[in-house]
Amino acid sequence: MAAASETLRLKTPVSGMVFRGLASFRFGATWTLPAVAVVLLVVYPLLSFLALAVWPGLFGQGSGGFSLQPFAEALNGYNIEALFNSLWISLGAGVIGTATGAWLAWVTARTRLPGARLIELGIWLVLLLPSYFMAIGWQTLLAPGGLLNLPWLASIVLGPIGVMFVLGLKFMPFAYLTLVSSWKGLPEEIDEAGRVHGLGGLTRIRLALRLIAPGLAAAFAIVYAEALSDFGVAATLAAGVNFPLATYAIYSAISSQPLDFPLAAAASWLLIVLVLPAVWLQARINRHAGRYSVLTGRARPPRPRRLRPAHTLLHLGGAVIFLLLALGVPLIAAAGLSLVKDPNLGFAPGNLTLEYYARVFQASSVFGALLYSARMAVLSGLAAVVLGLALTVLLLHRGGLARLLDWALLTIMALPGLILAAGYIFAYNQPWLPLYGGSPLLGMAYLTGALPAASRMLLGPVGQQHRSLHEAAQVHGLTRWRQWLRVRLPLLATPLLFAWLLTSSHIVFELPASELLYPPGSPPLAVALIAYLHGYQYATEAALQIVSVLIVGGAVLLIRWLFARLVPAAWRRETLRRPA
Amino acid sequence: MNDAVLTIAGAFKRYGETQAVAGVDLSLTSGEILCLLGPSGSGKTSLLRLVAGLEHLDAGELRIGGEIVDDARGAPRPPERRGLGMVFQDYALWPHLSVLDNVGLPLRERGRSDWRKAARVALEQVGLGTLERRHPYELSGGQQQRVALARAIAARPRLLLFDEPLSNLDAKLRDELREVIAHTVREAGIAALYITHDQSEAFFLADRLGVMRDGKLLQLDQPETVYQRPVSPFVAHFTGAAGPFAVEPLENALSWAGIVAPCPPDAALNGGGPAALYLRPQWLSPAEPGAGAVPGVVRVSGYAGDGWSALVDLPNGSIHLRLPQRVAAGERLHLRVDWDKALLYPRDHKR
Repeated sequence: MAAASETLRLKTPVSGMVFRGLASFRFGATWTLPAVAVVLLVVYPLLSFLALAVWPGLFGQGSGGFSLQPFAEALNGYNIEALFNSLWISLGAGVIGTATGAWLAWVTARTRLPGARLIELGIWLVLLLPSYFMAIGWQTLLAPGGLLNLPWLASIVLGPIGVMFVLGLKFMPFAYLTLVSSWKGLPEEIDEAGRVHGLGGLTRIRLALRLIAPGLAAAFAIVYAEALSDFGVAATLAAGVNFPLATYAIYSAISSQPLDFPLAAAASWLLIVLVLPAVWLQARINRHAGRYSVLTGRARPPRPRRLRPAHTLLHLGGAVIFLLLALGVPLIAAAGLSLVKDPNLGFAPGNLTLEYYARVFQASSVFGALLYSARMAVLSGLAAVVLGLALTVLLLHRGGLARLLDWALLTIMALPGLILAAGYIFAYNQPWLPLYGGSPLLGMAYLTGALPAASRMLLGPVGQQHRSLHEAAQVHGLTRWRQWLRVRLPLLATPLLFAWLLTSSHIVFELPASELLYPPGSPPLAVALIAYLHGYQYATEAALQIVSVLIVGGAVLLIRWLFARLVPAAWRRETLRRPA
Repeated sequence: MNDAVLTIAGAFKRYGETQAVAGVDLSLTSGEILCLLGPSGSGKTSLLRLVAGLEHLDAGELRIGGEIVDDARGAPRPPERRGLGMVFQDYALWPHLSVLDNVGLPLRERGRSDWRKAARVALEQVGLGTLERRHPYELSGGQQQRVALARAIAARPRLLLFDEPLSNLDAKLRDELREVIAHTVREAGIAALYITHDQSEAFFLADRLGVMRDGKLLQLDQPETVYQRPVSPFVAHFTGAAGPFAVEPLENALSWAGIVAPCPPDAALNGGGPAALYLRPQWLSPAEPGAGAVPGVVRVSGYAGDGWSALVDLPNGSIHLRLPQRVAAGERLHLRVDWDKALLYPRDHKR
């Protein structure tokens, strides 16, 4: 009682307001740099493009001021059908990707399944492969005159169901990588407590799933949003069977005459509406991230468990089927095409050839494209991880700005790279910012595209770091900078490396921004690949695909191997041993 | 002359609707261990976090070593510049660093070139000299908390903070470790602010003991004073006294369910209204039936090594007693009360 009345009388002294003012200034300074970056990379280009939907004459093209005509067009038959298709296909892909990702993440993080490292390698390869590889693989395999003559399978795969499965499998690695961290951050005591208290297997699975629910929801949001924004499958497999998706409808509007940027902008607005539920879900999880903070200095890292033989067989069988569907098909198709003189004759001895591979290495411009893309990917990936980490830390703050940032990031993720790139053309081809046509602008587009995934991958690990670990550092005299250097960054080493490898290997094959923004004379890898495709040099294109996958995959493995050799074991929580 | 290591004056802190700290004043001299005892939500952790600099005052003033570190006006001095050592409830050891590095990092941070030597000295002090190459996950809970203690004392801070350091340990380890803490801290001669909800821990360690409730410091005294003369029913109860037993004051006497007992001399009863009686177990002993003897019935009893532990129902309440001989459940007995020590409060006492 007494406390309450004293509280009411308590007033903030004037000098207290000065302190609060200073504090909010420091708060402002913390936010300024990331805010400027977000404005330059996202807000300015995106809004200037999206404004075209209601103001078609913004950049002097077209005529007039405010108009809703673009929206009327975007809501007509073809465009609205594409939008609806995108919605249900992405929801299905989200379910497929999250379920598969949760299962495979559990298998590789918490069990001693033989071949777990191969499964992990396979998932990385699925991640490396751009979605158009996978789609082209299924097409070349099953299309009439393709490598496999199975009309019943073709009728299923070369249609909406196939599109959904290809998208779900393609974007499953995003869910997998999010959930590996969740599974590893879940102390083993949780499961042990369940066993001791007599909970059955199913109950314990439900309990564990509830504990990693934030990770599951984040995983679903990523897969759903990635599927919505995908352009590779929409432009190949889906377009090939006349199944329109929203991204392809937008692309059609700005690639075929007459160019209709206002229509593309209006269709983009509608796509953003589709992604709002995912944004809402994600924002809720972030607000409650602290509640799920389970990884403390005291908790022991989980020890992988041995499976019973029957379960081992079951999980192994499932993993093999997954890898066959997601990896086997595109790689077998590409390898098949690149190694034979005539696809119709199959793998007869006289029909085999290495001539297409020789062509890849002989043409210096082709190999140059791979080198250029690799350089861009390493640098933009690094920038994306650094900026992504800064944004993640801000995301974990409470308050409206964090929520706004979170919405912005998920919106970028949902937006097709093509749309962002189109925005870059508008925004950076102006007299006040003439960046169009140079590598820096392409790098900015790569960085922006990679930012949401990088920041989302770091969200779990950063959020799960128990605050007493850095409070202990603070109290014992470590400055903020040193807290990061000595305590927080080492504990984040593994997720940071994963984020960098993921974003970089993704950027190497990036298609839409490369296509729209590459500097004249230096085509990136994806542009070169598509050029072969359009030139009907399928076998050479397939050979270049295989070479790129091998080189990028080799680099990823080499870096991971070096990481395991050079970084102290205690920094890599997955290798921690239990007390004797 | 003022050798206060820590001075807190008029400290207020609130989180939203909750007033966590409501006008606390205390000071701590060098070499002194001050324990703050209170139930969860009493504000003791908030007060500790304010001292650590992990939270900032809404009003009041906080000095460490005579210098103002937070006065709710200017920018508070950040934790890393307050020269503290702290032992956390969940140990908060850095999992990627070895034991030696965990203890040594704060020393290196202060630019000590002999950090290895100093860290080893601290590890020897807590009895962990041989485990310096291990990582936290390779240690038991008790060992981890010893490392945390070594980390806190290694740099010889002017003030040590303890945030319920033993609450995650089992009883035996708790007893063992509180001795390690008492010995180590006293040997090092560092002032310590120690918060806990365990009264035996607080009584054992404290030079002075404070009891907190609802953000207020109800009493701050030597442990024996808090024990013998708790200022309020809450303090009496929280430090282990049984009660309240409803009694009616008479002229120079008390009526306890019809039994007339001599009234304690300094009972602070105003107006002679209804009163609440609190008793500590050792103030009662078995006696023959007779004038002033209080009747009781044993509800449950069991052997406890140096006697029998029994829960005995008295008029209007019950009490845990240690009895010299075996008693059976349902057995009736009479007890003599050391009325000079008995604690009496007005029944409408607010705190």
